[in-house]
Amino acid sequence: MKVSIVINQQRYDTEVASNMLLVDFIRDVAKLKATNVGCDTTTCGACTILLNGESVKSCTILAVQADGADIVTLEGLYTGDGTLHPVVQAFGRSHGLQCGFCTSGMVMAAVSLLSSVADGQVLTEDEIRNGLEGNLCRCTGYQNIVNAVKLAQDLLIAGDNIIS
Amino acid sequence: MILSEFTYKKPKSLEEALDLLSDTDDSKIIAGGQSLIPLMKMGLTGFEQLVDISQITDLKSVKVVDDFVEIGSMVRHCDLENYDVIVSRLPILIKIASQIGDPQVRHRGTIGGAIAHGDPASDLAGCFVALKGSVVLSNKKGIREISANDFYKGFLETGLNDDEIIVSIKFPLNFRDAEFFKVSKRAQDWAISGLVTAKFKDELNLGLISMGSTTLGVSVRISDLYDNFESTFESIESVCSPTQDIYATKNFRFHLLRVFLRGYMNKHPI
Repeated sequence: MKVSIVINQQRYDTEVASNMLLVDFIRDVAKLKATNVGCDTTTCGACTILLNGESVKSCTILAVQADGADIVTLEGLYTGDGTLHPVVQAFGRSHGLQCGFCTSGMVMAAVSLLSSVADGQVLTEDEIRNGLEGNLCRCTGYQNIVNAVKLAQDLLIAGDNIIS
Repeated sequence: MILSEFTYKKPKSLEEALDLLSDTDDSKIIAGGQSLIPLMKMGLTGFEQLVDISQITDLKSVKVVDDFVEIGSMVRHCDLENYDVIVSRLPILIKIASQIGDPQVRHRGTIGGAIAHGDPASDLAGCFVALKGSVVLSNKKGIREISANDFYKGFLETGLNDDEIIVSIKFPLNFRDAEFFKVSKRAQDWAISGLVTAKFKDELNLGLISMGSTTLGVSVRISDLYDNFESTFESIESVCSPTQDIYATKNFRFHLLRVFLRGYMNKHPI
């Protein structure tokens, strides 16, 4: 089937099999390897990306379902001007990762979570933990990940940054 | 990965979708796909044709009709809180839907998909049964409505026929004291046991989660529950047939149900 999917502002018009998963499209067709396949059972969240601005697990979506969608992966957070996205900065500064396998999914889940917050609202630690419920870190590095999301929230509020 | 191949169609209208369903004997509707795709990956199910109904805008509306809120089957879990009428009249539904899976799943999963899946551990199905909801089904010949209690037949088995699509889910608004109880082992996990209650006049209607091969509904008289708890509990127990698995024994599931009911009674003393 023919699909047209925009990933990180680049359009991919191509023919795919109906049973191809979106994560495989991202990794094998678009050759963007930051998005990982962890469990492949909708549990671990390593394949989390933004689909039309919202976090989803790309292992549980068919590429054909994403026809016409606008997708952002971890690579898409880099603007190319040498500065890192505030959420990425915060993960680095808070040491919000150990082995790094879950990180791209964690960052994308955090970006979605922080962009869903209404103006003036500040997420509590509990809300952050609930918001990251769909992402597993097998290094058990949750404390620093939560710290990273808190710091990212502070950076965004201070810098008046809009996450896209 | 999904091994089996299938034909994929994305109709723009309900009529077109119903035509596609009648074209082949082995078609399946895909809504958000958050239960269906995992099952297909595990090789537990496969179809000749998948009909994706996500482009049918008629299935995404929420409206109040008489004393019911009618929610289009393709309304996603994450969208429910955006409707004032659901926030004000069905807060129990938001409480439950906001705990389904995780944010990623709620961005894809739909109320119609969850109801149609018929998982005995579905919290949303428990709510649907407790609140005495109904499903509106459409096929090429017309529309029919089935009550929640009649809809669930067995493990992943519902009253939905192969040529039908769930158009909407209706929830009545004449209930009070809706409560939700659930015990699960981990974040994003299914209920080991769960209960949704809704009071209708002098009856308490119960939606029992993970207490049998499908979602169960039982109605008890409020006076019986408070005055003769043990015998009333026995009558509830008699309709349940919970499984024993690595998470809980049958008796532990009954114990949880007893704790949930006591919790309801403590919160709503007569």
